[in-house]
Amino acid sequence: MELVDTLSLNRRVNTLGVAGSLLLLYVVLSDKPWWILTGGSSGERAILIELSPFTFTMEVLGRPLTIPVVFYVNLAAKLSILLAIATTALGSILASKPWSNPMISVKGLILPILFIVGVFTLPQIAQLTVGLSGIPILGESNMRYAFKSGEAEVVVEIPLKSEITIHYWIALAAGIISIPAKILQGRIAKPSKR
Amino acid sequence: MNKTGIVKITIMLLDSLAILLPIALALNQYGQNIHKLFTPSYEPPKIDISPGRFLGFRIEDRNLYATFEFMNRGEVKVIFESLNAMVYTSKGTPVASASLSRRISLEPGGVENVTFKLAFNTTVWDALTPLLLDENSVELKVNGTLTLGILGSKVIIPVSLPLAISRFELELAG
Repeated sequence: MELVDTLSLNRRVNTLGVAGSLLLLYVVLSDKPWWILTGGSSGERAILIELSPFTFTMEVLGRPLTIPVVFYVNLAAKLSILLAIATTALGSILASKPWSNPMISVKGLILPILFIVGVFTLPQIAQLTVGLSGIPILGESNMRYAFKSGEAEVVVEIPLKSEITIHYWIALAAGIISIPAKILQGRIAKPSKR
Repeated sequence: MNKTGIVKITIMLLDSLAILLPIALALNQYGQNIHKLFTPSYEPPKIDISPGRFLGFRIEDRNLYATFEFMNRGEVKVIFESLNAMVYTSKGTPVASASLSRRISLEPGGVENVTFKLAFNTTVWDALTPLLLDENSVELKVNGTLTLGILGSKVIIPVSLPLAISRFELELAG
């Protein structure tokens, strides 16, 4: 119980909840990608994809490629997480209230997990939709793509490199913090009376 | 209902709103044309490399060099990385291999001389003179693949270039 008292500043504030929501707020507001894919060599970039639940940037041969639906998906993710941040922060400050327990959200953990699952399915989606194979989830590979231009077959070879950025790990850390924050909230809050 | 239940329902409603609001915005914007919502929008840069003037032949023992002017009318830099081709006579007999004499970088709006190197198994004269017996020129065809470098990627395209060398040009080049 000493640990609970310490972490909750004598059962007044859920410090883990506050820390987690501040970290998550940084992740949302920084708008940095969680996964980056670049294609090209010798310092030149034929392909660039920067992806996170809140942002999507794609460039092919230096020109932007946009998919309208992605903006709305990013917006929904942002609003959802901002709501989770707000309820978690408020619930953490009102930790002594028994009804504040549901306010601590674990969406911050669900989102990075869903995101990484989505990234793992990207190569399959690219293969099924446009016939592109060899897209690395992590690391490097050479992508080879052949297509017909008139009667001629043109082959494009692009060295690809992908990485998960530090911002993903920060988001995951923020999400992981939400679990002990949720447990701590339950310990702090007194049972409600009907 | 107790306060905990009210809080849960309120959060659930706000969560739903966070999802429904973007959907509503999307439908408001694209309602008449949902398909456009999922259609990628992309305008590629213009890539346009075209041969210009032929600048002449040059012979060095077993190698015949043919130089062309190339113009980059596109919007991105293109690099002539390599040529991997064979040279055939009009009867389809292979007589030489073809390659680029060096790597050439063509900036947008730029013009560069690109030299193709035709390497014969014997001296150029010995290889081509028999083909000129009853003709005033030799008709050759260069078939193979040209590798271009575009923004760090390699684009391999098939090439089929006709090449005609007149007796006069051969004598001049030698």
